[in-house]
Amino acid sequence: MKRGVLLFFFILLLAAFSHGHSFILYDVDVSYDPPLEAGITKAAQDFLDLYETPKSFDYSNELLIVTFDRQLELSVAVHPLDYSIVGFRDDSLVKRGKKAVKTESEMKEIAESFLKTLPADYHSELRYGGVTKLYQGTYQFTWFRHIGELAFIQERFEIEIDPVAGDVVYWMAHNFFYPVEAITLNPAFSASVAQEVANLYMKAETTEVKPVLTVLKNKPVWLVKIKKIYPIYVGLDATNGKIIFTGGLKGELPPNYSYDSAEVIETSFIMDVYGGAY
Amino acid sequence: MFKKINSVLMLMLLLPMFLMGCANGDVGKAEKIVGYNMDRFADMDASGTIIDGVRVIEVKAYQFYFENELIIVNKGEKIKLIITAEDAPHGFEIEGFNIPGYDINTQIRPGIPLVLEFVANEKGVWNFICTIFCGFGHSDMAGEFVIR
Repeated sequence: MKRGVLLFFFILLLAAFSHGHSFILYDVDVSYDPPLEAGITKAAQDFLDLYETPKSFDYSNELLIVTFDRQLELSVAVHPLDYSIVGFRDDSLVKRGKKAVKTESEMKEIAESFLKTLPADYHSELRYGGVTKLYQGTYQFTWFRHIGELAFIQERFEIEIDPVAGDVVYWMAHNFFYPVEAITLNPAFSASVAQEVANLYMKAETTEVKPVLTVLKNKPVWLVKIKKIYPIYVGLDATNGKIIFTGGLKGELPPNYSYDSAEVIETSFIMDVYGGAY
Repeated sequence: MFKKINSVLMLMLLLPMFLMGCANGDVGKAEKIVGYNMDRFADMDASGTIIDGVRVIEVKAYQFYFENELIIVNKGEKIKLIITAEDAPHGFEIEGFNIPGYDINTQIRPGIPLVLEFVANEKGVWNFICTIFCGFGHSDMAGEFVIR
């Protein structure tokens, strides 16, 4: 009984802190915009060469996923502005129970040649981030968008290859929100100040994980892992110290990502804050 | 010999002071940043109007922004938020702030306002967002809800 009550409060706490603008929404309603619904449906149908009505639409970070078969995971990701195809999944391509033939490097070559078919200005900003073997035996290769050493938290390219036939089971070219020249790259305060800011806001303790600098859309963000009963992340706008999100990561970063050494440029705004002008 | 020992002693004395100075500098800067972000609303007018003891605030949701993107209320006040969708269906959530009985997946359709009533019982600053896909730009819809 006591354990149940404790668990209940733990779940309540989790719910309270796990917030941040949802970047995945399932089964969204697009019927309010008939041209959008018709446009994304037709684009997906043309891509798959079928005439079925979609079963559902999901939202993933400004892209729409048109799903034709939930069980077989047959879906196409469409950009809602120009109806271009930006992703695909077909789990029927997975050869389950058969012996893997392709090596990891052969699969990576397949992934790389696929990536090269995307526009040059897209793939030129991507940097390889590693491979993960997934539960159904496929391998997912990921490239993250970078500016120099600075990685974006929501902008990446993923591709999943079946090791039996080498088929591309899934790929997703996540949206690039802003061109490089429209992005602020330098934080206005350092990693150690960011750590203290997060601790003060959340009345929390420092963890052994050091803050890292990332980019969310067009802003530099300090990602600070703090301990408040349990460890959580705090995303701080590195230009003004506002909390952007708390809880989960709100995206994905390369494995062992640790970049924290961007030049700190104290803006006139942050100097005024330090000077008590506000 | 003594000179050497003196130098080492001085270094041992000064190094922790230097390190503490750095740490205090970071803490001082962090306090200023947090102080600014928590106190910047202190002198601003509260949002909406008081009607029968309740602070009534209208929020209009458009593709892809909120009109009244800054909502300021005082701790202890009874709040009535009237949220209208002005073009497409929208949603509303004050992230991390619990409004009893309210489902954040509620769709607000044009012409059918959403009315939320609650007591502002905890000081703080929260982000509010749209929770229903409303077009390309949905993730830019955000505002701040302040209880001071």
